[in-house]
Amino acid sequence: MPDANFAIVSVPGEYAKDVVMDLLKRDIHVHVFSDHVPIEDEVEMKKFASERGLLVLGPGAGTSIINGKAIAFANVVRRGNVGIVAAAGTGLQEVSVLLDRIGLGVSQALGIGGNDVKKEVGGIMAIDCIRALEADRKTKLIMVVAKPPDREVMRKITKVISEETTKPFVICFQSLREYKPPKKLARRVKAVRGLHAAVIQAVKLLKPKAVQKAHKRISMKPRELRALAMKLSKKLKSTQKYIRALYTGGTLMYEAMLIYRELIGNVYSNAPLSSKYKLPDPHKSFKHSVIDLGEEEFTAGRPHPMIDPTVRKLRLIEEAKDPSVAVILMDFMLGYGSHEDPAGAMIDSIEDAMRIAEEDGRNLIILGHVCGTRKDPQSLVEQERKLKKIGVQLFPSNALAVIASALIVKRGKVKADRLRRVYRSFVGI
Amino acid sequence: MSEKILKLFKSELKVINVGLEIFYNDLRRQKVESIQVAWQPPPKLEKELDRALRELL
Repeated sequence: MPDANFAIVSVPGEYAKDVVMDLLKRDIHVHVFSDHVPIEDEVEMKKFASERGLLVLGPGAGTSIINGKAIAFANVVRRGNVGIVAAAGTGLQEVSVLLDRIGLGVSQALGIGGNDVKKEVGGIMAIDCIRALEADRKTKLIMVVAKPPDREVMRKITKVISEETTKPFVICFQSLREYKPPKKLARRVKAVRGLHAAVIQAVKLLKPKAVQKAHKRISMKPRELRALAMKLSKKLKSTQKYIRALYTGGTLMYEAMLIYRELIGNVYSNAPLSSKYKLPDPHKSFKHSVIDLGEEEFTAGRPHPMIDPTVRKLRLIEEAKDPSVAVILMDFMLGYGSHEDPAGAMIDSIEDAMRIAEEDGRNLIILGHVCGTRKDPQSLVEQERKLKKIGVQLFPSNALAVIASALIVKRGKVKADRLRRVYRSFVGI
Repeated sequence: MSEKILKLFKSELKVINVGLEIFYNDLRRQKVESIQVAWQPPPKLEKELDRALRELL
């Protein structure tokens, strides 16, 4: 293909650089899906690409949307005027899907890989992508989604935004503390900690009159969520205390840990916020546990759980056997790349889990969030219908599902000001 | 320096997929012009020879 302008590379990480450099020398932009690419290789590829004005998206980039086309794991979202730069694959999926649901769309969505904003790489592609979206006429607002960058990288990104851009920005750094943009940028640069909140901020900046409508489509008010949680928690025994969240999407899982930290305290995980809360055995939950099933210990020698649900199906049954479990929370990722029927593939296991609890004289509350659109190959409507039919309580965003699960185990007893604070940071109300 | 990226944004995507065939199939489902490159890791010996040669030279 002599006129190729883009490539997807998913060869084993140790070989990625050789393949990518060949493509870059031919002036071809590259999305590198491969993981385990040595960081020095990433730096070399990105410096080479940047000098030539080319993109290296990734390594370890799960998702991009270029010219409306899904690259790797991405959803079918409407085209529009929000440009996204994301160092977080399922984070990009969640914001693009929520934008679609409220009637906004995506101009370009560029997955730069989690390491780009680390010190070694220095935000090379984050900055190139911001510059490109600033220059792109179809982009009216730029959204940046990442775990908190290295301080020096953050300073560089802020400098570029300050000195080289004029468009409005929504910065979603998933951090313990809120990122504060410099005061002189406060009017056009808004910072949030949650993916749902990032989307609400985008509406506020682009279509302020449509904010209420957007909330109606994807949000639930704190009192509505509390009332629902109280109702559901009445089904529980007093000995049922814990949440078990079984995630296929790493960024969604990370967001869950940040929210839980505010509402129920630190939770155990195979990839925790603090090493003190690392599960000694990732295959066994303890108290409140949040599991990223996409981590290496679950994927060695088998496909990612977004493609193969086997590991989660088995884990769900184990969780159901534990009489101290109150709530199980799961994400269902739709879009290209993902399993052809993520909800359907879990149904028998969900029903088995409910039966196991029932036979033990308990009720198990199962919450879910389907991250997808009506136009995804799996169809959001169809997937939600299957889950609702067997009694899974669904939420329009990950943040709402997580807050609901926390309210359930707290039997609704979370202080109003604390709930408001979490809502402001993560939901945008 | 963004010219080539902006050119990509205005062009029809023409994609070379190196590796997992699932991505090639998904591109075709989206009617994106694309080709699949059958990629195999280079023989180990070749890599080792290459490394030894590089050290020598």
